[in-house]
Amino acid sequence: MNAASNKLTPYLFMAPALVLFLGFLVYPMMHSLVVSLTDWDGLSATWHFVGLSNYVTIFTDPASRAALSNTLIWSAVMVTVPTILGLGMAVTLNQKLRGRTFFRSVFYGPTILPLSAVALIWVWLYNPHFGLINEVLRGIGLKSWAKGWLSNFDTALPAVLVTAIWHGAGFPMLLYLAGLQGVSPSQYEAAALDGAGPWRRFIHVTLPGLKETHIVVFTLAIIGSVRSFELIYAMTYGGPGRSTQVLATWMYFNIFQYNQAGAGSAIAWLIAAISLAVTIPYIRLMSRR
Amino acid sequence: MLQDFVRRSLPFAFAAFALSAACRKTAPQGAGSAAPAKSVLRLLHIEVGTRRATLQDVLTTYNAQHPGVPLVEESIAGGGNLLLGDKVRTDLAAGNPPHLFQMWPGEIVGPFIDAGHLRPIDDWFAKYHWDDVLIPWTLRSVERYGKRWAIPTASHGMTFWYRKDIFARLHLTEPNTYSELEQVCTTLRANDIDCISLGGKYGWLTMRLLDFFIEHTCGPSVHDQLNKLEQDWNQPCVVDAFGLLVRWIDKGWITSDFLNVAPNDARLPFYRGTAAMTFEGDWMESILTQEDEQDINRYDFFLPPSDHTPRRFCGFAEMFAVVRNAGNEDRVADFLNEYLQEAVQAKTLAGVDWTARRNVPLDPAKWPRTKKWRQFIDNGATYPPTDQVFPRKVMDDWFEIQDSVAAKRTPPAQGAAALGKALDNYRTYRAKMAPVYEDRATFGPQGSSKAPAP
Repeated sequence: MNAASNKLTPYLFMAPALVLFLGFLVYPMMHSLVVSLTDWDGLSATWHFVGLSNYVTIFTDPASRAALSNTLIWSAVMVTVPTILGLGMAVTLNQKLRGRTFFRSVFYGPTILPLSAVALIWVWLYNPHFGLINEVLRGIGLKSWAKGWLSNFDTALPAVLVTAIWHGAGFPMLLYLAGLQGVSPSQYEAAALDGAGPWRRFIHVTLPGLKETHIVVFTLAIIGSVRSFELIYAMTYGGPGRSTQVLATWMYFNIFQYNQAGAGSAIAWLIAAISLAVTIPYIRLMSRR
Repeated sequence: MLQDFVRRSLPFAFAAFALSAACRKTAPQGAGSAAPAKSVLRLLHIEVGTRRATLQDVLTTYNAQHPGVPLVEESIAGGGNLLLGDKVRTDLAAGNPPHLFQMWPGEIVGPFIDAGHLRPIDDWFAKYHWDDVLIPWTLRSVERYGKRWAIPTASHGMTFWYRKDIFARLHLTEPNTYSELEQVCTTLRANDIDCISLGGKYGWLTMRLLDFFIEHTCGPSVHDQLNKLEQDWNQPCVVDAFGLLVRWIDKGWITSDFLNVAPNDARLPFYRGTAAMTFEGDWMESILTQEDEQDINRYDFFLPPSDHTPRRFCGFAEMFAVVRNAGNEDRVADFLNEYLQEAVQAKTLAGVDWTARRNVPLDPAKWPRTKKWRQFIDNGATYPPTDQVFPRKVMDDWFEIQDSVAAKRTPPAQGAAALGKALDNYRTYRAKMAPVYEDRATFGPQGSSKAPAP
């Protein structure tokens, strides 16, 4: 073998994966970027370039702005609440407790359920007439609190968020549990000898020890939340009105329901941009280690 | 490392971008050009279970009696009518469209016609004389730009279904006027029974009731003119219709908190007897007896008491749309002709509630309510459901306004004004795009060489 063929060999090995990567990821992405600059309806054979107007519309159209706003609310909640709950559960279940494995399974259980099944369960729990939540409220004398949780403009999004938290808290718990195994018990012992109580040990030993896990959890939470689709689609279909539309469902509605593939693709790229804005710093940070 | 990765990846990304840009104006349009004959002819629909079995039986019989390229049916399990359009759109983009697909009229099938994907079949209508046997109002629903794009396969009517046992217990009779309908609701409420159970999720079940209110407050003529955008929607009778929606909610006549209850779930209060009515279609008999195992003797329907003559009900057709250039056209036409024969239609009517043919025989002992319905559908006057009149985006504006009025976030007058504005915008858009759409519909996805500029 000569030097030229030696240089070529790695590329030949890479070629199959590269072709798949280019064909099924890069090309569709670039194609959708082009579509996002057009007025294509998703059905016709022709389209016209419209520049950045589809992107401008996201920030000027009230319905799109509402979807963007809901996505930011959704992301803020889904990054903080499941993370804090997951951390709390992980720290608790990292102790030598009786039934520890059982509780780990119970708290992680919802995460492995398909989102469509989760949505179905919670739609019934929230049913204004027969749902368990309202039945319990009526049963304990809080009849006035019973309401159509998903039918009310003010409670629909928070109600779906509760479902998302219930489903999503188990995953950060699992990651934090894994991270906690990397924190040396000797650090806790040393801190205890220095007189640190449980709270100070948590602040000064646990949290710094989980630094890399925080990054993973935070990044995955952001990426997962900006592209949240299934729960909204199945539980509220964006309603009542459009009060629970988020960017991912709004993208779907634009492309498939409104025949606005250009506008929908622009929303897809906004979602991708938000995800990349979080992911690239994460990759850079991890690459330095 | 990242910079290195980006630097190395950029040439590939730009190559893909260039390839993508080069493909512009040649979006995937498999049905746009003549396709080679295929080994099977595909019929795409949404039916499942015994309803699907009926269609399978029809196709099996046809394939046995008419040897040739076999017809096969494909069902979209689960998603049903919500996903059928998505599936057809994806198949078209992939260059593998079905030959025929089930679809709903107006602005639901409209985008497929406007994009040039459907074949006008006026020549088939002329050849086989289908006009002679089909219900006239269903024929109008397959027309666009003066051509016919599908055969009507089903004709449905929607109205108030009620619990006969509850009505009998409270000595109520079927209302013949709107005032009598309100009296029925008042009596039901006084007996702690909701007048009507609605499921507002997706918007269209609430819309059916609102459509009835518009028919009542505006009258048939104005209602039709509103649908044709020949009248401004921001007018007193529309405000009154919204006002009635609020009135029904305020009086407790509609099940509480209905705005995000799924339409199928809205049947439960009706079955449990906590609500005495619902607004459903003629298909309700098969749902009651076959799917939900109810005693049909407890249920009946009455036409909506609009206080106008004719006493119209909400009616719509379903269709088999024919994809342009999908191949084997003679075989497709022959199948459709066979499909519309009385014996086959008797089978589909009993098995899937499907027929658009007049006077199809049906066993009244087995299908008493459907038999009663057919008299109205064959001969009655109808108005279309609004979600078939306007495109989906406009309808979502409508649903948003409707929900907002129902939730009392928007007063009726403001709701009518918002509706007027949304439909004004659509009227302007439609006027601009109609020549382009008609050109594509006539000449195919690429349009003619003299396609008008949008």
